Amino acid sequence: MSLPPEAVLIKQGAEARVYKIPFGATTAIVKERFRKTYRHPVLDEKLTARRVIHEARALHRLRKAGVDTPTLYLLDAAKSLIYMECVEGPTVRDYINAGTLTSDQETTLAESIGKSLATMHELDIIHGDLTTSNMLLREGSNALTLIDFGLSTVSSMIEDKAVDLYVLERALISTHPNSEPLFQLILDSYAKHWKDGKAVQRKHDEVRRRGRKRTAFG
Amino acid sequence: MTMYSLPALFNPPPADSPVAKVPLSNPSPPIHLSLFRNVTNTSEIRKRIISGDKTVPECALINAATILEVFQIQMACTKALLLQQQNAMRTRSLYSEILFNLSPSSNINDSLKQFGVSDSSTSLLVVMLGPEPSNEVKSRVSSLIAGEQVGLEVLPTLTDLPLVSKIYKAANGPKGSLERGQLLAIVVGAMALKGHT
Amino acid sequence: MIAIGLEGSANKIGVGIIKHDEDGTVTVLANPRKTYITPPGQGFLPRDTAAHHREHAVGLVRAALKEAGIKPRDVDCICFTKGPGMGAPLVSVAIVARSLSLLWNKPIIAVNHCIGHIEMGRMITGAQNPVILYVSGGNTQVIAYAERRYRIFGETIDIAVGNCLDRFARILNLPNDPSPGYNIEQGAKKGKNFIELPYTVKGMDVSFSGILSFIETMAHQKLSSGECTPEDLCFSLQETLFAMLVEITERAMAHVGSSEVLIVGGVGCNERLQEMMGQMVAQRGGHLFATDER
Repeated sequence: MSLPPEAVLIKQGAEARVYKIPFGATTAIVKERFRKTYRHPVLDEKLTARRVIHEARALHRLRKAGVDTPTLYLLDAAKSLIYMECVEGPTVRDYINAGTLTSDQETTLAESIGKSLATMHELDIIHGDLTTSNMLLREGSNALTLIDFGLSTVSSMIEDKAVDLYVLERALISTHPNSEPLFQLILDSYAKHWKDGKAVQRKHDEVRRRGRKRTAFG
Repeated sequence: MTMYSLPALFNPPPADSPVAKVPLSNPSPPIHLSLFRNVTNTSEIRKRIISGDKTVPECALINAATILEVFQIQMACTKALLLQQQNAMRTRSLYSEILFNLSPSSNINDSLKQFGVSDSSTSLLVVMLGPEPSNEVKSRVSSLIAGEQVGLEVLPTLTDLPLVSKIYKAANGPKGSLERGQLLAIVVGAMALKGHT
Repeated sequence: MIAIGLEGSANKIGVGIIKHDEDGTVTVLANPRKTYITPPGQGFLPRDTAAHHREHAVGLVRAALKEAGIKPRDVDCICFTKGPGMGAPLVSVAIVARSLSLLWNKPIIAVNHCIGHIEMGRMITGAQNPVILYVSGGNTQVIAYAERRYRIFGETIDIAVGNCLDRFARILNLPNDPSPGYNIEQGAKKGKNFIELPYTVKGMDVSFSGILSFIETMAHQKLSSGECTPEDLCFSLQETLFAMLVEITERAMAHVGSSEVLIVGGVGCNERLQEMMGQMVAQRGGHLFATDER
C-alpha cells in the first residue's frame, strides 16, 4: 500500500491505448481512444466520443444477452475513456497453446465459442477482430469472455457475419497449427445456436473460397 | 458509519508521449454509509426534505431495496464526481446527482422517486461524501431516521431483486432470473451508459 | 523497351510514352493529355466524351512521338486501357490502339485501369510494398498486395469520392475548369467554419452518398441564410471525406503490417489529402508516396 497508485500501459494499438489501474478495492481496465491529429478537431472529438460510446454499448448489450464480456464500470466521453472490469483468466490462445487440451475440453471450448459468437451475431454485432487473444476464460466460472470491441460494427448482413468468422478462422490457423478441426467444431456449434447460423455458414464457405476481400481486378 | 474508498479517476497522458506508467494523481474523496432497516417514518423524512428542513444533514438517502451491493453506490458517486468535474451534472447537487446516476432512466423526477426515499420504502441507505462526518452530523442522521441501524453486510438481504430486475430491464435473462453477480454487471453497465446516446 | 500507352476511360484522354532500361530505370518520354470540359453544373456524357477523344487521339499520338523524339518503329508495344471506365470513350480509344497496332505491326496489350495506376505510381515513386489508396472519379479503393494478388481491403459501398466531389461542385455551381476537384480545393483553403457532415466508415469500407444527399438538402438553405459560405462547405466536405479515406488506409496498414502508402488516381493530387495522409503515416513512422496525375 506504500506505492503510489498508478496506471500501467498494457497495450498500445493504432487507435487506442489500454491501461490497468487500481480501482477502489479492485482493478480495472481503462481503454483510451486517442485523438487523431490529421482530423479536424471538431470532427475528431465527435467521432471519438461516438465510438467510445458505441464500444461501451456493444459490451453492455452482449452482457445483457448472456454473452460474457468485461463489466462496464464508467464512461468518460470527454476524455474518450472506458473503465471496465479487469477479467482474470488465460486467453484462449494460451489455453490452446498449453497443449494439454483433451478432446473433451476442445469440444467444450468450441461449443462455448460457437454459442457466444452466435448470440453476438444474433444481436447484429460484428466483432471485427476475432482472434484467440480476444477471448478469455474467466477465472472461477471458466466462462468464455469476449473482449476488445474497438473495431466492432453493427450490421445485419450475412456477409459481414461470415467475414467475421473468416477472420477468426485465419487467426486460428495462423496462430495454432492443425486447428482446422477445432474451427469446424466452432462452426458446427455456431450453426446450431441461431436461426441464421446455417446461412452464415454457407456464406462463410463462399468467403473462404475467395478470401477476406474480393480479389482486385478479375 | 462505514467508510468506503472511491476509485481515482484517470487522466491520460498526451497522445504523442505514451508512457508505460501514469500516476493517478487525483484521489477521490471517500464515502461514508449507514444502513437502516424497518424504517417507519419515511413519509415524515420526505416531508422534511421537501420543506427544506435545515436539520436534515446533507446526504443522499437511498431506498436500499434498489441496491445490490455497495459497488453500485461507489459507481454512482464516481460518476457524479466525474460529471461535477466536467460541469456536466444534470441535477442541482452532488447528492441528487448520485441518486440520478443510480437510475437507468433519464427522467430526473422518476429517478429521484424510485431511488430516493418514498413512502413505501422500509430500508434506507445514507451516503455522505468527504471526510468522516462529525458526531453531531451522525446524531442528526440517527434522529432523522426512525429505524434499526444495521451493518452494511445486511445490505444484500434487503435488496428487492425482482424490483431491480424490472428497473434495469434485466428480467429476461437467458434462464429467466439472473444470478446476483450477473445482475450487478447489467446494473452497473446501464448506469455507466446512461446519458450517452 | 519503349511502350506507348493510350488511356481514355473518363473525360481525359492521354498518350504516354515510357522507356524501361535494362538496369531497371524508367523514363517517361512524353505524356500529353486533353480534357473534355463541360460547362458549370454539367457532367460529361459518354457520347460527347467519346467524340472528344476521337477528335484528339491522333493529334495526341503525333504530339507524344514528337515530344519523345522517336519514330513508330522505335515503339515495342502498344498498351491501352481495357477498363473499368465509361464504355463509349473506352471503345473509341481502344480502336485507335488497335489501328496503330495493325498499322505499325506491334503487339497490343490490354491494361486494367487500376493496375495501371498502381504500377505507374510504384514506378515513379519507388514505393516497395505500399497500401494503395486509389481515389478517382470512378474508384475509391484501399488495395494491398497479399498472397500473390492485389486485393481490395476497403472500398466505397456506393459512389466514388471523385464522383462525390464532382456532384458537390455541381450543386454549388462551381466551374468544371480545370476540374471541379481543383476548384473545391481552392475554395476549401478559404473556408473557416467546420460544418458537421455524415461520416460513414464501416470497418475498412466507406460510404459517401449520405454526405451528398445531406449537402443537397442543406446547402442552399444554409447558404441563403448566411449560416455558412460555399468555401465553408468546400472545407468541411474535404475535411470529412479525406478523414474517412485516411482512416481506412490506416486500418489496412495495421492489417497487413505495411508502413508505406501510395496514393493514386485523380483525387490523389489534392494537397490537403496528401497532407492529412502524411500526418497519419508520419505518426506510424512510415512513408507516403503520391503522384501528380493532373
